[in-house]
Amino acid sequence: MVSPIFLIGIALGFAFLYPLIEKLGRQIAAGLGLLVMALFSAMGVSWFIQLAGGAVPIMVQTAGFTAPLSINLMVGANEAIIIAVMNLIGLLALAWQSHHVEQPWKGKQVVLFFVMILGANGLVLTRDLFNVFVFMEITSIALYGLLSTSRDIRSYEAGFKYMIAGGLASTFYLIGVAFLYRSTGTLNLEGMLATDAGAFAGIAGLMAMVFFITGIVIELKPAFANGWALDTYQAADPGIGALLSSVITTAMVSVLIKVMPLVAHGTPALVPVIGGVGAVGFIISGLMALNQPNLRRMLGLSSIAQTGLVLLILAIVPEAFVRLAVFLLLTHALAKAAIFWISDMIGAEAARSEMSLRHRPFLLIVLAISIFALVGLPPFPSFWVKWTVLQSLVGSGQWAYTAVILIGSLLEAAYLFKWFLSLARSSEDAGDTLGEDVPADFAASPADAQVRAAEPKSGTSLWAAGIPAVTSVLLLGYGLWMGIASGGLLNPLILTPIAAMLVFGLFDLFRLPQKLQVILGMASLGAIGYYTVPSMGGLPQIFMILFLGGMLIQLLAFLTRKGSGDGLMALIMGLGTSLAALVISTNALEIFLSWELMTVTSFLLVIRGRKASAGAMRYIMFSLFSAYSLLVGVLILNSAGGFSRGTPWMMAFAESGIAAVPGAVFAAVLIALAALIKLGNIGVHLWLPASYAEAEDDVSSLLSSVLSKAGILLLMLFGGVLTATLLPGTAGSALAGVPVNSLLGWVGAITAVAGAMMALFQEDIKYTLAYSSMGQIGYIVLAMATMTHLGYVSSLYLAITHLLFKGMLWLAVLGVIQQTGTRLMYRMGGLIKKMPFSFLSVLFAIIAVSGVPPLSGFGGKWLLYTALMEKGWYLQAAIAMFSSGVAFLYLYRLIHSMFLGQPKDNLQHVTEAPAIQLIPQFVFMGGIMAISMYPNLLIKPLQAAVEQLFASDIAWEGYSVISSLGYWNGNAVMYVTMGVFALPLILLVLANSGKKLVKVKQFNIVYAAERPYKPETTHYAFNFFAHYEKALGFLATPWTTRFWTGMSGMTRSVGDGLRRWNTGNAQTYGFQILLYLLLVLFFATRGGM
Amino acid sequence: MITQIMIVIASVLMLLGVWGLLSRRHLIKIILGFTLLDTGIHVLLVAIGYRRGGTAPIFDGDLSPAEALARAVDPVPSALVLTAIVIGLAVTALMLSYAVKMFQHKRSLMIDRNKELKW
Repeated sequence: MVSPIFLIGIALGFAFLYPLIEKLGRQIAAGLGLLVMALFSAMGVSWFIQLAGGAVPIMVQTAGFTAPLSINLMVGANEAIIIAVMNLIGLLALAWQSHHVEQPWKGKQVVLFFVMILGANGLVLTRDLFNVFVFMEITSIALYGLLSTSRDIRSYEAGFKYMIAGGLASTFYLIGVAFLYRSTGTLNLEGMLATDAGAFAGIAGLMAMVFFITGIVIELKPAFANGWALDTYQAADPGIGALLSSVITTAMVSVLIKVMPLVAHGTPALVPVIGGVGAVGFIISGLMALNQPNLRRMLGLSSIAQTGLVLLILAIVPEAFVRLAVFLLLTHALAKAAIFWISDMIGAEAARSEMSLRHRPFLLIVLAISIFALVGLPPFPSFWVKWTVLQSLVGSGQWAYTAVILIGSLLEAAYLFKWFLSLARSSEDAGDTLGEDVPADFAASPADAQVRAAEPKSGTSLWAAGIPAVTSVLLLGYGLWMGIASGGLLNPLILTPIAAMLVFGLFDLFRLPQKLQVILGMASLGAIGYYTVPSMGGLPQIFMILFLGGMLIQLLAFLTRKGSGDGLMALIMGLGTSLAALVISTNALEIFLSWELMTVTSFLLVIRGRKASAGAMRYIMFSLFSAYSLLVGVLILNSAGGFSRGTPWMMAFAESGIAAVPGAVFAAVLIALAALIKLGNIGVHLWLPASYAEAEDDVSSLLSSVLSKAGILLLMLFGGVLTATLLPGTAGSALAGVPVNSLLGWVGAITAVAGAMMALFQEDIKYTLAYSSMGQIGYIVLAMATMTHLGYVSSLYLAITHLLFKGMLWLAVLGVIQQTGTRLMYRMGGLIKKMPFSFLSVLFAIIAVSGVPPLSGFGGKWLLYTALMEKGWYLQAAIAMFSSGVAFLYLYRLIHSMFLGQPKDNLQHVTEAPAIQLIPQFVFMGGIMAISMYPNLLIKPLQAAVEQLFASDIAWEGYSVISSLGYWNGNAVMYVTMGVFALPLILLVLANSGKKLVKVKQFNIVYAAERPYKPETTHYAFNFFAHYEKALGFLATPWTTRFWTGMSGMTRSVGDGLRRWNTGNAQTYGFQILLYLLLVLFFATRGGM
Repeated sequence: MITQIMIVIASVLMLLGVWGLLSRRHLIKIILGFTLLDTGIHVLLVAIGYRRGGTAPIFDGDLSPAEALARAVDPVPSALVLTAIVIGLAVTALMLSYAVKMFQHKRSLMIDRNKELKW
């Protein structure tokens, strides 16, 4: 193996020789520099390969003496991989800076860069504590030098503050080392570890260790003593920010990693203090970053937060989690460097970008990957790290650390995604669209915002975009490798969503036409169904058919899209396959992974909308909240031994008695919460309207009809734990002994009313449909919550029919919106003659939705009411019935405003939607007709599937379903209804026969009884239900919206308040550092309370 | 005894340095505070290596390597101090050059004129 001493020698030698080499030619010098960095990285890789294979760590002595007398360097597997990745980032950074458009590096800067690399590598390698100090100073001095080359004149001010802080940190460190040397007689880490722990005892030993560790911690820029570092991030060029955040931080954390065993050996009381430092840093930096207007400062805060997380993980189980901490550290280094470089490329300054980057999808993808990796979404390494750590934390009941990690991750997602969305929005998106937009009288539609397109400074050069892209490729490969190597992924099918996205992403790269991609996508989904569905049984089979079938049919409508692919199909395929993966997943990890992948792909789909960025922000925040609830829930069950391969459906718990499972009720509440958020139930529905309505029209349909069922799957998957009772063991409290499913039922019932009420008062058709979905999902939850055979059957029945009629309705509305160019219902009208087929779709759909005979909706409602009555949930049944009435009202408004009445002047030339859009509608219509006529087609398979969980209480007689409360014969109902309609028709025809009929023209106002007249808001179709709004409008008061916006505002204010701590005064910062030392000392003497 | 006295002197120097660093407004005085702090550490390091009645750690006819542990002054801290002095020099020089740049920019050497970056 190559000796690590060469690394230091070459770096130093190259730094000295560089000015001479540059005389030979700048290109040669730059190329040689890159070569040296590549060599360093390769050295790390070769060491890692050998050490991971079980070789003994390399130990190198210097100066001809052995360790205590000389300095020794050590490379273990951790050091090797840090060296490999850190130098790779160095290589990319050097490449980036040498080709910088505004200020390419040369001479002095390259020399300083190599000195910095020398110091950073030395920090990783050395085992001598004084040598650490030397390398620390070398790195810092090189940084100060580089800082002075920044374009921003304020970097001098920042550098000065940095020097004062760095000076204090070095002082602490040296004092600590001096006293450690005094008590142990050595500066060598191995020597100190071999010293009896008694040498560190007493107040002197404690003080020495506290000074020593505080010195290192201050260099890590801990929260409340890091204003100087933030100022530096703000003033430094982004390229230098990347080095500071990725290279220097990585090297400094690796110092802490190497001294952790010494802390655990000498002063164990300090270990939890370090954990506390990390926890505070993770949370506080997140809060401070929320409203931080300056992008680079925000990125600095994010780096500090990530460092905090690494410290936290290190301190939980110092020995076991070291490798995880290293992985997390390197993930951060790779991702953050890429983000800094992209911000440099586009000259981004503000944390809420004023520019749109949508026209540069490649950059956006790299940015998305980097942010996903930072937030810890699958399949990136940080996901696996967080998963393993949380598994251990939940398993051992360490709730405080669990909460810190999850809350910190949410905060981090909040500010990073806010920035990302401000870049990813379209150029017409002002970024504040959360509800319908109704223009004033006579006003044209409000002018669209004009968001400037970001112009990468380096033009379109692939070279420039390629450098950050390298880190993305690494993160992806590294994450997948971790997932497979860790053995967590037994079933590679779970990774199909990623494969699908990569394959279809490649199609886009090769400019495959969208139409062809849609066909390929349909074929793939069909193939997945063909190979999986027949071998499945029970509920999984039903959900698989629902997801794949629903998507397959609706994909037909996507065939109207033109041009080459633009990423749409990659995301849709990712979504479809992650839903399929969710169905086949069998253990906690697989479920959570699929859930997250589904969240990510659907989030990216929503972003594509024209004004969707604000909605997408809510979507991702609520979705992550949901995912984290699910995570903790499944981990609780997991640690209770609830999962194993082969017990796919959780009913096993019900049999063995959930009371036997510790914490089952927490798990039940958390899992129910996760599902309710994803289903957009009342209280946590804020994300729903804007996400559904502002997504692209055909995507809205997919989200609302197919994706919305994922939460139902989750609820049924964990149905067994939902009967856990609240507050077990207490009596007297109002909630004691109430089972979780009964709460769930109430939430479902209230959601049904609230959704319907809110749908009632929308002018924008897409918002009407979004709220309508919310209400319908309420019924599905309510039925499921009964936890009876009939309840499950009716829930599934409602889910499937909802898919059919909602898909139909959305697609029909999509056609109307495309043809008329407006989403506001009162601007439509009279379209019945122009779009008769769409009218037919909508007519069938609303009959089915409203639950009146003869269509399938009636059967659904009948099953629902029966299930509720049998359960004894009379009040809930009444609420459901009331909301059915409300639903009828908004449906009536919908069809009336769109298709009936007088056609508007400007809509005279509207034509029917393209046939390819009508086909899926008619497929759905056929499905509805079939189910309506022959309910047994659907109910029998559902009954059989649910029978595996509950004893059946449905009987059959011919085509009649018989339950305890009566029977339903779909056939007969259909015939009777047809008769009811046929009779007046026949009478009408008879009465009119032989008479000469006059067709009423539109402007024959004597007959029309209404005038097509502006202003439009005086038209009856505007504010259609004003009278109901007066009477019942209070039911649609946005109480929960106020709650959540209040929460969010409060969190931001707290963050803003905290930011004021960093006054900008160098001496205040110095004082904060002294205070920090005292605090560490205080907590260390308290045994790390 | 001497060690204790030296440690006290070192502490006084360091505290003086920190006080200067945190209380003076003038950049040059702050830098002077920083060098006092540095000197304090150097004295501290030397003090830790001191051995009463010890001899110079030079192996010759009077001092064999075997005796060194018992009789000689610890040479390691002295070596460390030399390194630390060099590093202190470099940092001080950099601080001074930054101070010059800040003065050129703001025409003032007062630290409270240099807090544009904050929050």
